[in-house]
Amino acid sequence: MRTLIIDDEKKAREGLKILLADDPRVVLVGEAKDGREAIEKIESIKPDLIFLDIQMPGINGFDVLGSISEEDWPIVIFSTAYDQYALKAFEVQALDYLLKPFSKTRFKKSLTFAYETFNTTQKATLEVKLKGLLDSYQNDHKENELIQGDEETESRVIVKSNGKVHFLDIKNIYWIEGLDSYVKIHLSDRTHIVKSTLKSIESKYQIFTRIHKSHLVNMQKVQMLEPYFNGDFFLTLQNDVKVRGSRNFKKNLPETL
Amino acid sequence: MIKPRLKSSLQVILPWLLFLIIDLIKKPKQNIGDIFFLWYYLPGYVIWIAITIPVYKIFVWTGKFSIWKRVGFLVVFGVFTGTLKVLLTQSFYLGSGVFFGKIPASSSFFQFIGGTFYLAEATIISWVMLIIFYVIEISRKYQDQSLETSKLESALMQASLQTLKMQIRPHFLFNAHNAIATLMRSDKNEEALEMLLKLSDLLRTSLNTFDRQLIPLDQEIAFAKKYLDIEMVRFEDRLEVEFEVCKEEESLFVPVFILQPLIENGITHGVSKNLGLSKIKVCASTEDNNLVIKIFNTGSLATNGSSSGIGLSNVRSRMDTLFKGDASLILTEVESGVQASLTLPLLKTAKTNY
Repeated sequence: MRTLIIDDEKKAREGLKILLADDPRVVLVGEAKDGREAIEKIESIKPDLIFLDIQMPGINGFDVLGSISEEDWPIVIFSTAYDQYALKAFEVQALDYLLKPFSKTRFKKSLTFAYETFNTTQKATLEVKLKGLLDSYQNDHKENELIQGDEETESRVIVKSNGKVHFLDIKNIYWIEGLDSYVKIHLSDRTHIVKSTLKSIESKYQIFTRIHKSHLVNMQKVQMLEPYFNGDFFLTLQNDVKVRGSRNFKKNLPETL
Repeated sequence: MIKPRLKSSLQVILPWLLFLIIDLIKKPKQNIGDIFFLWYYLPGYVIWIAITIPVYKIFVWTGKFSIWKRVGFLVVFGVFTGTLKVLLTQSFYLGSGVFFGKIPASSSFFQFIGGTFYLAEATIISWVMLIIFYVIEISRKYQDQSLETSKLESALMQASLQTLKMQIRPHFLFNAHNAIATLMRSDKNEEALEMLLKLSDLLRTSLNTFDRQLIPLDQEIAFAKKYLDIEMVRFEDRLEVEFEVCKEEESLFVPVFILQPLIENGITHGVSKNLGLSKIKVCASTEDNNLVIKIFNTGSLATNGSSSGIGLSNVRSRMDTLFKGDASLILTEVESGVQASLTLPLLKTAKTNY
């Protein structure tokens, strides 16, 4: 079985690698240190088996599964240190999971079970269970979040909504509207409302310029500037949407406009 | 169950009755049954009982004066009360005596006052009464104080239990154990041992500091560092920690376990939500006669769970009990992160004036 290890703690990944090393049934094909990397690697490597940690920064184990299309789902061995919610969910669906730290015997038992699933037609049963797990998770976690990315994700905004992770290329974002503790991200065809603040987005993604107390605009999407009363102005974007700017933020505009 | 009102009047009457009994025992030769004797003897006590409550009210009212002004006032007030009592008693005798024909109507009022002896006696009794009031006041204050102290103690107890819970916070503890297990599986026994020792050190510290409200900042920081040490092993290259504290600030006193919950909050809401490198920065400085401790963490206020959370509310309630309104905790969004600013009074000793 081509196997991928997913855990945010390096020590935990090392531990799994040691245990997997002398088992002829598995070939380690990669490891991921967070949910973002996990989604990418599952999609590109298409492993047969994953060891999936539940509690990871920003994008947790459930979100990872929710973001992968069902036909790409590998066999999953969940692992968690302590997560009451997850444990209950696993029990309900009768899914196999490892509690950290775990013994070699317990580990081998899970691996054998996964191997049997892999070699028989039981995979469909597993898929039903996983679907049940995700349904209840997505039902219980409806909050939308903006994930703080790392250097590799600076060209993308990662948003999590309804247990699904979306990677938004910042080149496709037209403008962002601030609504108290939420922001509304406007793309050409859709919007995402997520928990975040304009201030934190502004400081992380230089491409967005503040033109109003509650408006950030992607300058590369600006078509034209129209003056308005009292030094206020409107920016017309390439999708013909007009966004109002305030005179207080006029200094942020590039000279060329 | 005696109603409060009845109870408080009993509190007034009983001591006077006691006084009366003692006084009677001292006068064994008197015939208690004699009407004249009772007429002569009892009204004084009734008057004492009647004026006790107003005198107590005035005594309480003088509580707003400074101590020496109050003493001066009460000494004079004692003389006044004594005089008043004598006047009232003698008026009664004179009035009723004339009425019943026991005293000739021609008797002079001042003649009947009975000379300076009665005045002096009544004044001394007034003073003693005021001293008793003072003793009652002090003991009430002491009771209140010990109530306040026990409130603080229970808050501290809760905080340390909270801290203990943090260490025994299952996720933290099991992950630390898992890291130790991994170290042992890869034959890194020295490292495994080191981490195990750190973990038990952390547990021990949190149990030891139980009985103290205030500790020097450097000790509080040392404790926070122990916690961070273990988190560093878990987050490895993802967490960067920085402390900025000057020598002068290190010896200032802060409430025990005040720092660690704030750092933990920064880690759970900032670091563990951030995919990239996260930073925790703690700096302490003196500003306007206050000790200001700033804890910065990468992240945004939206994901910082705003200013709620059990850890933060415990910090807030303890600061309220310890410093009343003179301490504050404010969370603000700053450039690429969140900053918790803790403002405390400057304490050079382990004593508060609150």
